[in-house]
Formats: sequence, C-alpha cells, structure tokens
Amino acid sequence: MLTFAAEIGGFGHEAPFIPPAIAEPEPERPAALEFAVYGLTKTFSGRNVLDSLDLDVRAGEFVAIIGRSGCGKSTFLRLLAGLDSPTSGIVAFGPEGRERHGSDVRVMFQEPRLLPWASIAENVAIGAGDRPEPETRRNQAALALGAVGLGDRAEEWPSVLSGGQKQRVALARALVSGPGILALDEPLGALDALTRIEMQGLLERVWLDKGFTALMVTHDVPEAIALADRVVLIEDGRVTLDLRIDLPRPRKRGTPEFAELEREVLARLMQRAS
Amino acid sequence: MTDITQGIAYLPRKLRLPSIHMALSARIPGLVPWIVPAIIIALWQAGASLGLIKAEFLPAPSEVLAAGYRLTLSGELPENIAISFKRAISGFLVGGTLAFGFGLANGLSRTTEKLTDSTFQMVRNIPNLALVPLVILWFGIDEGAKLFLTAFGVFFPIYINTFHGVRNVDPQLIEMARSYGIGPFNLFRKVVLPGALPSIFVGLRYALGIMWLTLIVSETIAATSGIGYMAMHAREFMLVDIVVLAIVVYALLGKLADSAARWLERRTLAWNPAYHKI
Repeated sequence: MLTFAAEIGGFGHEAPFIPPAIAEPEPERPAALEFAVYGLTKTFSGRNVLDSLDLDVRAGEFVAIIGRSGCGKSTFLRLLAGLDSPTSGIVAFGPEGRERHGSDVRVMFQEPRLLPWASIAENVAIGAGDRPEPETRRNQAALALGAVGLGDRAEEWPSVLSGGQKQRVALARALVSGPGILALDEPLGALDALTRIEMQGLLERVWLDKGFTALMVTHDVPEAIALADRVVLIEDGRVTLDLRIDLPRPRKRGTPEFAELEREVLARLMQRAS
Repeated sequence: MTDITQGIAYLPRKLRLPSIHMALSARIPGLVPWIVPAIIIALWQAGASLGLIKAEFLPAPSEVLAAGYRLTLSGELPENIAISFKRAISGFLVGGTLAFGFGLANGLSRTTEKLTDSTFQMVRNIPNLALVPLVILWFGIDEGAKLFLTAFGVFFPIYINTFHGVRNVDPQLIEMARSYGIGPFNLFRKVVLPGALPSIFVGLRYALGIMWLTLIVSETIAATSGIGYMAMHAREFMLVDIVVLAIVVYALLGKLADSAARWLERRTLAWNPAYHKI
C-alpha cells in the first residue's frame, strides 16, 4: 500500500486512494496519437505511386484523404498501418516521433473482412490481438459491440448480418484495442446511400467519444467534408491540397457553407482532368 | 423479353417436385433417402420369388439376409467385419495423418512445398492397385500389405485437398488478422485452419471412398480374413448368397463412414450458410 501511494506521487495519507479494481480498465496509452510522414515514397515496378509525400497530423484530428483512383491514397494508408513498407521516407508516431508500436494503428478495410466461422463477438475479439486474457477479450468485445449498437447480436454468425451491420462489426473490431490512430480505407464505399449516411453519423459519434486520430481514405467529397477536420488531396503521389474544414458538428449537408466547400474541393479535384 | 418473363412465370409449376419431397420429409424425416433402395430391394425380392432371377445368379434378399443371420450366429461375420474395419481405420489413420501433416506443411511453407510437392504429384499418378504385385513381394499377404495400400490410397485426396484448402484461405482475412497483431499460432488456429476445413472435408470424404475400395481389392487378392476374403472364399464354394452379403456389408460400411464424415462436417461447418438446415 505504501509503495503504491509513493508511486502515485507521494501524497501520503491525504491522497484519495482509488482501488485499481474500480478504476476504468483504460489502456495506459493516450487515446489519440499524432503522426507525421516525411518524404514518403513507394515505388511499384519503376513507378512512384507515392512521391516524397509529407503530411503532419495532430493527435485526435480527423483527416480525410481524397484523390482520383490510383493517386496513391490507399497505398499511403497501407504504409501508415504497416501493411506495406515504404521504398523510402519516414513514418513517425507520437510527440517523440518514435516507430510504430503493435496496436498504434488499426485499419478498417473497405470489405468487412469478418471471419465467417467465428461468432460476431469472436470477430470483434480478434481486434484485441493475442495478448489479453479470454475474459478481458470477451468484455472488451461486448463493450465495443455495444458502442456500435450490435450488443444483442454477439452470438450470431456474420452471414446473417446486412452489409452495413457487417461494417459496424468491423468498426467495433478496429476499436476494441483502443488504437491511437484509426485508418479507414473507404470503409463505406460498398454501402447504399442511406446506410452510408447512417454509418457516417456513427463514425463521427464514436470518434468524438473515443477521441482517436482518424485518417479516412474516400472517393466521396461530401463524406470527406461532413466528417473531416482537414481534407487532403493527393495527386501524383503528393499532397496538393490541404483544406481545413471549420463547420460546426454535426454538420448539415445542404447549407450554403457546406455546398461552397464541396464545390471548391470538387473544382480542385477536376482541375487536372480539363 | 416476353419469352423470358413467361419462362419465369412457368418455373414455379415446374418446381413442384421439391415440394413433394418436402411434404414427404416433413412426415417421415430421414426416410426419404431410403425410398429408392427400398424399391430396388422390393423388386429384387419379387423377381427372385417369382423365379425371374435364378438363385445361383443372384439370390433373393431374404436369402442374403438369412446368410447374414447364419454367419452372425456362427460369429464369422462380426469377426470379419471387425477385422476389415480395423484394417480400414488403421490404414486411414496412417495415410490420413501423414497426408494432413504434409498438406498443412506444404500449404503453409513454400520451402517444404518445393521440396516434396512435385514428388507427391508424380507418385499420385500411380494407381495404388498397380502396386499390388510389388506390395505382395514386399509384405507377403500380411497386414502390412493392406495397411500400406490403404494408407497409400487415402494419402492423396487428403493431401491435395488440405494443401489446396490452406492455400486458398482468403488472403484478405490473413492480412486483417496480421494487422490486428494476431501471432502465427492463433493465425493458424483462428483463420487458416477453419478456412481450409471445407476443402479438407472434401478430401476426407474422397479418402473414405478410396479406403474401402483399396481394402476390398487387397482383401480379395491377398488375405486370410476380412470381408473380402469371406467373399472370395465363398466364391470357391459357389456360395453366392455370402458373396452378395459381403458386397452389401461393404456398401453399408461405406455409407456409415460417409455419414460419419457428413455429421462431422455439419458440426464443424455450422457457420457456413450452405450447411444451415432449411
């Protein structure tokens, strides 16, 4: 007991003692993580998909990456998540610019990628990785499923879910380990328009609640403007536009400000084509 | 255009047959697959009783049944079934275990694949029964011969389907699991093995068929016990009823093995919508 009190700052007997069992089982690492990339280059068979790309993202920021097909935005996300390694350049995490640790970045893919042979709860528990005890995993999975509104479906097979529900399970799985950065690779691309807007709302609520850093690759300009603090355009493997969106949340589509931003970004996006 | 829509409109009428099946299976579940065998046996019995089928050519089912009863009382039939069953299982276990091991290893590792796969592919093309003369020279007509032939026959379907199953696990799922920090052991246990299982079961069911086929042949060629030996022995004394009995026993044992595999398949692949009960 004495050593514990000493550890938390030596307040002695005056210090309010919080028994560890009652304390929230929060991970010790901060909720959000900043990252920066410098001169990031990725070459596929002689072609520079990313060409010395620089980007700096603050902790807790929501950044949307837009660009034409093949501009390198998905490659960027894969390099950030460590699914591929860069040809050259640096990806640095945290204030001290360290290398990536295991669960710093979690990816939500375009496809749900659920294991069809595992229950919905087990699928979410996959996101907790290997380390936690089975009971911890189960509890974390139940919490995460509750957060995406599927708490009552835990024991069912993924095959009974709709496309939108599957993506919600994938979101729960991505969040279960409390990542500092959530990388989203067009996660709503395959959903119908209504489900998509619903999911955007869910994504925003979860992000506001958990406070992680979000990096979302998308084709959809209104989606980027509805969700992101910054919209970043990648063209020819470089950042060619970095636009701050200051509209208050939750953002209403169809307001003149929203429409103006949408027009501006689309015009910039289409500039090259003409 | 109109032709197509008319065609679709007709479809439900044409699809009435399954509804008969459903009505039947609702009344007597599990009996439907036995309707055709029952009709065949009834026709066979009628043909034999009316003298249309000669007894020395094909004895009546009742006579086959009587032979079965006789040999069961004398203990000859259960004993031979037990011996054949033991041979089948041991050959299957030896061949199946090796095949499963090599299938997994070669599916998971390019190194062992390079080392062994082309050898297996060459040996695979030898019909296992072509080895009978050689096997008799090696093992005589001992248990070793039967074990070797059965294990040899069972090996390839299980090897190929395990290998194929492991290789065809969705790479997106593997990438997902890796990116979530799942280590090699759990990656195998939670992703690769369950993903390969449907294919492994296909191999298993093929292998069970080959297991009986190989055993029958090796028992009729070189054995002093077992169902195959019982049939060959009876042939020498023109005991057609026992010959037919042996064939029926083989059919039932084969069906039993297949049912066991299917049961296992249903249990382990419950997640797959294809195995959900309608």
